[in-house]
Amino acid sequence: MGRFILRRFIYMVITFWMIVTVTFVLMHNLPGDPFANSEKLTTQQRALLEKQYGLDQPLSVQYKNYLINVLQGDLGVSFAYPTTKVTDVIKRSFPASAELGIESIVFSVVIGLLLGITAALKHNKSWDYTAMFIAIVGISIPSFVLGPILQYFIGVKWGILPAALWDGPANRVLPALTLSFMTIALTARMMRTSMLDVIHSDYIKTARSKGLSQTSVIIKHTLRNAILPVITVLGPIAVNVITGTLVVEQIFAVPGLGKYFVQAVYSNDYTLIMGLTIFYSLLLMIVIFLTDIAYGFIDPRIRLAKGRK
Amino acid sequence: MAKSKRLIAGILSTLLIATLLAGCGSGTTTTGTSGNAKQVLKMTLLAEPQALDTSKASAAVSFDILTQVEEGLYRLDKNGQPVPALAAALPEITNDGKTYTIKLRDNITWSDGSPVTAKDFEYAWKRTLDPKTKADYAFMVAWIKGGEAFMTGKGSADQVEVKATDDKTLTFTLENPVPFMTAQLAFPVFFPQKQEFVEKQGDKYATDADKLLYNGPFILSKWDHEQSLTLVKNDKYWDKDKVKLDEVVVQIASNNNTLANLYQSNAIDVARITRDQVDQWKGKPDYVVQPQLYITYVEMNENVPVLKNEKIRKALALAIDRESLVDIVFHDGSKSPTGFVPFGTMGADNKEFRAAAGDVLAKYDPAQAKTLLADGLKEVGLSSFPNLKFTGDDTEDGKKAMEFIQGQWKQNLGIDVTVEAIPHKLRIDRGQSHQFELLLFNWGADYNEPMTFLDLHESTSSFNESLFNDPEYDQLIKKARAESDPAKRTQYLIEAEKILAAKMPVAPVNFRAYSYLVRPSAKNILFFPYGSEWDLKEAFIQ
Repeated sequence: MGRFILRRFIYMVITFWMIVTVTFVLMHNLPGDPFANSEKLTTQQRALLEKQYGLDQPLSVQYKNYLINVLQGDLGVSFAYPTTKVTDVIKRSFPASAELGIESIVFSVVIGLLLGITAALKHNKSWDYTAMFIAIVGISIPSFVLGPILQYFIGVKWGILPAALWDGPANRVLPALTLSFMTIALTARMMRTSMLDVIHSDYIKTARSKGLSQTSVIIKHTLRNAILPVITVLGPIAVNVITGTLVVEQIFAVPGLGKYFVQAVYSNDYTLIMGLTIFYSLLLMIVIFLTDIAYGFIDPRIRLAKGRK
Repeated sequence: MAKSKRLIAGILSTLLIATLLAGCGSGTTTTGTSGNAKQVLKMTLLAEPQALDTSKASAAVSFDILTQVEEGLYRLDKNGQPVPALAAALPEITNDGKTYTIKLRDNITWSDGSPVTAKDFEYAWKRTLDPKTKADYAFMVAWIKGGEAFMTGKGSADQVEVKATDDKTLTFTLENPVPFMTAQLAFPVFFPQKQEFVEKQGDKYATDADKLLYNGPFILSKWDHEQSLTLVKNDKYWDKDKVKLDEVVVQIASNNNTLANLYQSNAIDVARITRDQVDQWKGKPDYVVQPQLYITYVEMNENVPVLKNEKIRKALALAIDRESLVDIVFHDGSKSPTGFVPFGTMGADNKEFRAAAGDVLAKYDPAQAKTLLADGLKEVGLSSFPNLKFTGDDTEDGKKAMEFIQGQWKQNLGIDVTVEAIPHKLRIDRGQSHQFELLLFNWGADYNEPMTFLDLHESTSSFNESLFNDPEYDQLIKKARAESDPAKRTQYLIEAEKILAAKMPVAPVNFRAYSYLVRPSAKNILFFPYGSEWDLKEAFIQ
C-alpha cells in the first residue's frame, strides 16, 4: 500500500509541474498586456509596473522566480486588483465556493440515495419510473437553465426562498440544489442499479429464506453491499461540483472563486490566472489522489493489479 | 459499520431538513424597506471594487463607493453642475482661465476627527502624479502646470504648481485653460488624502473599511470582500442634515437577469438591466433610463488601401441603419448617433454640445451608399470590395452589433466582411497597434466636455487607431485646447466635428444608455452619465 501511495504521489507532483509550466507558457503568449486601463498609462508608469511585477526580466528568469515563489506558497499580486495578493483572493472567495460545494454534495448523496433506493425497491412500478424520470431530467438540464428557472419560480414568483445573494442559510438552498441536480441523478441511477444487482443475488435469497424481516434484509444486507459502488462516484461528483460552481455562482451572486476563472483570463491577469490554475488543479489532484487511495482500500484488486505491472 | 452509516445518514438528513427549514423561515420573513423607521437602501455593484484609493481607483464600481464615502472640493448636482462641497464657494479663476484659488469650508473633518486641510489636497494630487503611484487617472491631474513633467519622470513634485497657501486655501495653475475644471474637481482623483494616515497604512491603504479615512456623507462600516459593502451615515459630515439614509447595503452581483430577479423579489432597490428585461418593465414607474457619455463606432483603418478612400468609408457608414441597430441590438434606451459627441455632453460654454452642433451625421441611405461605393471602388481601381475582417469585443453586445452591421453591409452594399470577436484586452492591443481592418470601438468620457471625444481623432493621439490625419482638424483641436474663451472653444470643436462628418474616419453606431429599475419609493437617487454611476447623498425612502 505504501508503495502504491508513493507512486501516486510522484505522479501528482509531475502532473502539477507540467500544469504550472504549460499555463505559464500559454499565458505569457496571450496577446495584450495585463494592466487595467493600460492605454491610459504613461511609459514611465508602465515601466515601473513592469518592474514591480518582474515583467522586465527575461521569460526564463520569470519562470524560475515563479516556480520558487509557488513552492513558498507565494502566488504574487493580482493585476486587476493591484493591492490584493492572489492568495488573499483565494482565501476570501474560496470559502463560499467550498461551502456551496459541500452542501451540494450533501444534497446529491442524500437525495440521490433516497431516489435510487426507492426506485430499486419499487422496481418497475410508478415510484421507480418517477424517480428515474427525475434522474433523466437532472442529467439533461444544464445548470445555466435550471438555475434561472428555480430562481424565478421559487425565488421571485412564489417567494419561498431568496432569489440570490449570500446572506444567510436560506440563500444556500437554491444554488446548492442547482449545482447538485446532475449529481443527484448520477447517484440515484448508480444506487438503483447496484441495489437491483444485490437484491437478486444469492445471499439475499438466503437471508430471506432464513426468515429475516424485509426491513432487516434491506438495511443489514442490501444497503451495505449496494452502497459500495456508489462511494466510487463520490470522486467524480466532487470534481463536478468544484468545476461547476462557475456558472451557479454567477446566477446566484455567490461570492465565490468561480467568477475569477473567466474574469482573470479576460483581463490578462497573469498572476490570478496562474494562481487559480494552480489552486484548482491542486484541489482536483488531491481529490483524485484520495479517491485512488480510497479505491485501493475498498477494493484491493485495484492496488494489486497496478502493483504488479 | 451499519450503526455508523445509520448515524451518518441521520446527520445528513437532519442537516438537509435543517437547511430547508431555515430557508423557509427567513424566506417568508423578508419584507420590503418601506415603513421601517430606519432608512436603509439596498444597492448592488457589478464587481468587487478595487482598493478605494482615490489616486489609483479606475473602475466605475470603485467610483460608485468613493462618491458616497469621500468628497472633493465640489459635488455634481442633478444637472451635472458643480456645487461647493468641501470648498466654501466656487473657485476664483484668473482671466486667462488658468489659476484657481479655492477657499475651504469650515468644520470639515475626517472620520478620525481631524480637520480636512488644503494640504490634504496638495498631498493627494502630488501623490497621484508621482510615477511611483502608477495611477491610471494621473493624466487629469497632469493638466496642472508641472504635472506632466512630474508624471513622466522629467520633473519633481516641487515643480507642480499646486499649493496649500494656508490650511484653508488651495491654489493651482493649469498648463492650458480647462473650462470644465471646476466640475472635474468632483472626480475622485481630485479628492483629498491625509498624508499621515496614507503613509501609516502603506500597501494596505484603502483595502479595508478600517484602512481608510472618510469625509463624505457616508462611512464604509463593513467591507465583506466579494460579497457586500455596508455604508452608514457619517455623523461628522459637514452637511449631515441633508443625509437621510441611515444605511446603504451594497451587494455584489454581476448577472443582469439575477439583478432583475432580486429587484422583483424586493431584495434590492436598484438594478441595472439589459435588453432582455427592458420590455417587461418599460412604461412602469420603476423603469429609468440614464444616457451615458459613451460612444460606439466602427474604425476604418486607413492603412488598408480601400479604406483610405473617403467615398468608400462614407458608403460603409451610410449603409448602416443605426436606428434599427440601436433598437434591436441594444434596446436599453441607447440612442442612434447624430454626431461624434454623445447627447448630454456639455460644451465649455455650458450649453449642450449636441444641441449647438446639430445633426452632423449623414442619414442612413442605402441607395447613396451604393453609388458612393461604386465611385470609390473606381477611384481605387478595384472591381469589387475585398473581404475585410471586422474585429471587436467578444461580449454579447459586441458580437450582436458586429453581426448586425455585417448583415447591413451585405444587404445594402452586397459586400462581405468576416466578423472576428476577440477578448477585450486583445481588441485594445489590436486597435492600439493598428493591426486591424475594421474595428468596433467603445469610448466613455473621462470628463464632461466634447474634447474627450474629439481629441481621439487628432493625428498624434494614441487613440487615433484608424490613422486619420487631417492637418485642418489637428489645428482646430489645438486652437480649442489653448483657447480661454469658452464660446470660441466650443465653436472650434463644432467645426472640428464637421470635418469628421465629412471625412468619416470612423462610423458612429451607438450612443449608450443604461436602463435601471429603481424602487419608486426610493427618492432623490442621482444617476450620472459618466464617472460614478450614482450619488446617494440626499436619497431617502418614502
